[in-house]
Amino acid sequence: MKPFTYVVPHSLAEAAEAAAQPDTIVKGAGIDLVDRMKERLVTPAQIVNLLPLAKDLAGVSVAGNGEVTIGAATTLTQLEQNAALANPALAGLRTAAAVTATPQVRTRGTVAGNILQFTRCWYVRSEAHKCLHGGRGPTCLAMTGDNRYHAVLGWQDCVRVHPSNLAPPLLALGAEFTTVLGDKQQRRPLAELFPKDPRAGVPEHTLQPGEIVIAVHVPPQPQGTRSSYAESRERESSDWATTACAARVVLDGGVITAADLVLGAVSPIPRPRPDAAKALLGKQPDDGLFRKVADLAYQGAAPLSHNAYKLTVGKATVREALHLATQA
Amino acid sequence: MSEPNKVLETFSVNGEPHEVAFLPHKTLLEVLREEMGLTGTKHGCELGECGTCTVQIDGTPVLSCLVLAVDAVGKDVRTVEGMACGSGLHPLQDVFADLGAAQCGYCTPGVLMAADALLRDNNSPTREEIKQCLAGNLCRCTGYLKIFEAVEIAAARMRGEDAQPSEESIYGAR
Amino acid sequence: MVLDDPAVTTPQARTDAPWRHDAKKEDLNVIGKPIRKVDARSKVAGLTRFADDLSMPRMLHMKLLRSTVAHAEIVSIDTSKAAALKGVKGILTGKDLPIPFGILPVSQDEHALCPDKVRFVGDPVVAIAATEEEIAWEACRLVEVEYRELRTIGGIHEGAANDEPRLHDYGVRGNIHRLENLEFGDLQDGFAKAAHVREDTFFFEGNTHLPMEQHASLAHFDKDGKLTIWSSTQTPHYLHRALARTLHPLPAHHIRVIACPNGGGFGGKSDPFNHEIAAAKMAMLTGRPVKIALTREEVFWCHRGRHPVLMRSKIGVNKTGRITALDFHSYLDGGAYGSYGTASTFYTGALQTVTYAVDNYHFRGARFFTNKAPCGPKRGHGTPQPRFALEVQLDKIACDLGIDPAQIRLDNLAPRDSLTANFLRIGSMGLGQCIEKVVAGSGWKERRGKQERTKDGRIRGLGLACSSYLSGAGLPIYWNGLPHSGVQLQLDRSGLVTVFCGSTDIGQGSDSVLTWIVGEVLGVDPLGMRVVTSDTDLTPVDLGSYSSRVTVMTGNAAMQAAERARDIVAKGVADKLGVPASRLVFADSRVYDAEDPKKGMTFAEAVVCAEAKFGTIGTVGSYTPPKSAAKFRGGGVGPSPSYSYSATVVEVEVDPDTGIYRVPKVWMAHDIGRALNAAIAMGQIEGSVYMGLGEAMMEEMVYRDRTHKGNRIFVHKIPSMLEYKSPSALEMPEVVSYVVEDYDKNGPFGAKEVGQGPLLPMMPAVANAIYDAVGVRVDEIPVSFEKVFAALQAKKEGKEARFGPSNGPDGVPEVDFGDSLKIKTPWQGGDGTAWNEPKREKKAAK
Repeated sequence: MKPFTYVVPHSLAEAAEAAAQPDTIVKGAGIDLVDRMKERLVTPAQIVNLLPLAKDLAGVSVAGNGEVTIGAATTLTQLEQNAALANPALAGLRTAAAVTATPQVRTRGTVAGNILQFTRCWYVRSEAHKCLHGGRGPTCLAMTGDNRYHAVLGWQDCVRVHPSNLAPPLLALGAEFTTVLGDKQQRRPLAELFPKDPRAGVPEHTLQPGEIVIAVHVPPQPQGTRSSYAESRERESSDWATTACAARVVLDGGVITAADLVLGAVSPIPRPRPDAAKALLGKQPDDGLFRKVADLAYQGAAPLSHNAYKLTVGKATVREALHLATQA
Repeated sequence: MSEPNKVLETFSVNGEPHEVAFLPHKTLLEVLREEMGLTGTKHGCELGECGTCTVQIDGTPVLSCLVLAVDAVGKDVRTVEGMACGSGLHPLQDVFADLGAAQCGYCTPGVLMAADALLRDNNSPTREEIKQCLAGNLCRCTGYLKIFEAVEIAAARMRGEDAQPSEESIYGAR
Repeated sequence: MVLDDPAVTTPQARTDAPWRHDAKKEDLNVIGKPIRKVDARSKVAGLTRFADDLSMPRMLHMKLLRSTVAHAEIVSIDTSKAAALKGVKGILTGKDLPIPFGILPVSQDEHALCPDKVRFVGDPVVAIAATEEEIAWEACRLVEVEYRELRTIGGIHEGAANDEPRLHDYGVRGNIHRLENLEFGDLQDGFAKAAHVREDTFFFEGNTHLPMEQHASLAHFDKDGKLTIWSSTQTPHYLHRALARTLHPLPAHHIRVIACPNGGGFGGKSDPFNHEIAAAKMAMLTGRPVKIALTREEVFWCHRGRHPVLMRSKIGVNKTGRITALDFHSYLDGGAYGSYGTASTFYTGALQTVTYAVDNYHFRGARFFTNKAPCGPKRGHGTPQPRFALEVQLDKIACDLGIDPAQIRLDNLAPRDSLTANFLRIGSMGLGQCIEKVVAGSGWKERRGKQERTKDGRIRGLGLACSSYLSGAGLPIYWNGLPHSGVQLQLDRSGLVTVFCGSTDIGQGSDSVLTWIVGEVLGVDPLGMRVVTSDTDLTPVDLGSYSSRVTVMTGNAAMQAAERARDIVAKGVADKLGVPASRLVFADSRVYDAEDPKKGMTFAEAVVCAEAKFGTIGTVGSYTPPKSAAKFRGGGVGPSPSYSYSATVVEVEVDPDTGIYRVPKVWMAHDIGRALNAAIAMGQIEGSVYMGLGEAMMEEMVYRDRTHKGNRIFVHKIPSMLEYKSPSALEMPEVVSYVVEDYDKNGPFGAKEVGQGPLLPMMPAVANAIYDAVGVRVDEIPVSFEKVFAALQAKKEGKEARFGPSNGPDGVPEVDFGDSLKIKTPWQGGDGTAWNEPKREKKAAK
């Protein structure tokens, strides 16, 4: 790692002030960041450590109206085990936390860190490769290279995929997030955290320099809401998803009255699939229906030279998520 | 490259204070091994992918290769060197030794740290819970089975039971 | 004084001893018992000192600058900026280490630092030592290397099609490193007798060892002009030879190699490595201790793992499924250097005949140089790939003929105490028992072919496969007539027995094997002994921890040394007690009269008696394998004192929609002659199942190629433990293991190899199980989910229900193998020589 100045703030205000300085990166657990610093993919002059503020930034609280607020520094283990989240409406979120990486990563990795992590594309994550997204070369190397884990949906000049597995269930639940920038706090829909036009060179998130995510909010869910998360992967632990799907349904008398589907690991940003979700409305859960919805979720997909299989397993993942969400 | 400044901090490792001067970009793994000479903690990838460098911070298993040492100041750090009491082995270590759950022994300290934390929270884990707990510790020698069984037997012994490995796990099926 | 009276006992004469090495289990005190390993305590306490755990005052840290291009001439190297960096203490380039080296005498094609040419991404070019690792790293980034890029050779077909540019200026021709062509018996006749002939093409992708410990070395050149290197190596003796060669004129006896306990090896630490030689040279240059610890990415560059092998196998069987002829072609993607590749090539053809009787056998093998990390030996060395092909092909034959796949194997078993077509001498042979065990245990007969559905809609299948492996190579890697293993014992008045041996514990427990054997013979507690191993200054030569040779070879050497010590001690005690030496029992750390057990003394007292009579007590033992019956060129690869056998049944559950499958249960039987320690043998079996499962399902050493200046370069796809998928605790199936003990007279206490053999049948058994479940063949390793899906799709579309390399003429490259060496089989009256081989000049032993 390249040496850096280490800032240990005593308050959020201090953190925000330090974060605004040039060549500075804010760090939570640092799981992804330390990894990238070791690989010299980022070499900040200054690191602002948020961990000392964990007592303010970690934890889950439920408001009177049922809105759940999750502190940015809440670890995945805390999220998985928090009693306040133990209801079927939030099952997708808990599952996504529980299957992330490895136990040692989950005990330390934070919610904000998971959502803000850098793509796993093996070209941009290797200093040896001069690729477009990394700002080191003229083209997307994955486009013509080995792209078995890359995008099949909604890609343009760069086929990276968004690696977060918390983002899809949070988006499906209509989550929002709060940030501080200087002395200003702002709350926005989570969808706005991800770039609309995720071309090469566009960062994974829309935060401004110095802006710090402090919390994620899950709005109150109507009666009968159930959520789920399913992913495909090559091994059961120590892996990222090859495809993922988060589902949220509201069941009323055995009929689906509301639904959201969000795909992960298949596009440069987490992809809500509203058209596919719409096909569920007014219907009763059924494998035949889910197969059709899975096809719709991948409608318009444009697989690359090595990743057509992602469509097969991706659709199976959609079906699995829908079965999980609608099982009694 | 300007000369970075070392920081002087006191770590609590295995219940003992260690005053160490180190560069702030050093990881806990590096400070433990290179500054304190606690080489019981190993490394297999230094990128958080194998679990070999697992230590406990405040009782929780973490990857010391991804923890900046500065972040461990003021915490209770525990390594494999702190497991044995006096000249005796910890029950986990004892059963690992008896069953051959440590072959090359390189992943063993990390596995022990993860298993030890599990048993502190759960004195009678199921096989499935043990597997889940060790899902972040890669082992290339054992196939994990002797490790799982060793954790089960150690847990039973720590509960005061007289647990022994099964005949089948030692001599094979008939 | 070392007493070394060869008349005392020899391994061949040991049945005369009052204890018997073929004694019944219940008569043995140590052998077979689940005794803790001698180093277990230090391992679980974190006290075992691996190479990177060592440090010395004033130690420098070394880094290697590695090539970023796959094939190029080095035009210039400018290290001036690096040299100016504060903290940099030494820089080496290829011109500082001009002497080539390599593990095999026939392929001395590596340099510690490339002098003029780089051959793969990762080839080392410059070594820099500095006061801090980060400074050395930074300095490497300041080095400017100008390359003139050459066209790259990317694989088997490219290697066959492109003679230019050549990676090396030696080899057969073009980029063909080796061509072998051996014909045993009469193929034409064999196929004429066949009622059914199949021809199939298979591919086995390369994979790597992935030991948890990254290679590290610490070198120190002392003021007496002597060099010591501590290293994570499985072969300190071969490293010693490579250092003596490359550091010329430093005399060999000024070089001391200490192999640290290896944090896993699996064959990946069996070559002498460039970083070891560079560290040694750097220590000599700077006069300071120099350490290098490889990153995980660099471990992938070291590789020497499983060769990618393309295979075409033509097999003929009679009506009842008896093999009449086998015609086997293998094409190996060797990577950039020779390494063990010559042996690897022969191994792809050597052991097919050891499991099943093959009356007529033709083997052709070709190894190509390609611009990728060099391949070499990984657990099973060269034999898992053909084993996969043979076992899947037999499964297909059984299906074709409607025979139970277990039965067709039982019907073809090679006989015990026989010579194979290729003159391998089989001794004990427990494969039949192994098959019977796993067939009974798994409910094979009732459950196979039923396509039962699991609760979640997956389809169950069972697959069976077998294998065999060596108990050590019968020949050393360099020609000599010397023992392969030596053991020295020292008996102290305190009763301490110290065992000195050059063998290296890589986790398999070889240090403990020494104590168990000596402990049994001398009747002392193995855990009370001291073991000094793998130190070329202090311990007798052992060739290394490879090819499963240590148990049998150091075991026999240890037995001989222990028997000699026992004889001396017995003479001392016999005098003292006034009973004949032949009546003395050595057990429970006592020596006593068999007819009056109270009459005796402690082992320590016994040593005192003997020392008073003979002086200081030490003995040696050594072991040389039996002479091979194979005398033809190439016959040196394959012979072994004995062969282990394995049979497995693997259960799979396949999702017919996606091809995703899991392996819930495995039954594995392993004939190891005799378990020297039951628990440790079980650990080896389970570890083999694990590693084989990884190879079957997911592990692959593949390359991403990308274009650079109009040329393709090959970057390891996945130089990380994250992307090189190996099974986690969650993938590990339930394993039912059977230890089959078919006593072998060539092994210590009847023991054979344990721990490589059971890896081999895993891959074909998984593929066969997939077929049993969903009726598709994946003739390629790994059997990834995607390949199963592709085969299912093919089946759905009415095409051949198969995924794999083309069975057509384009499936394998066109290679002129030249004329075969023709060898008459033993049953044709052959004497082990090739009747058309030009006379070879007998090489003198060095």
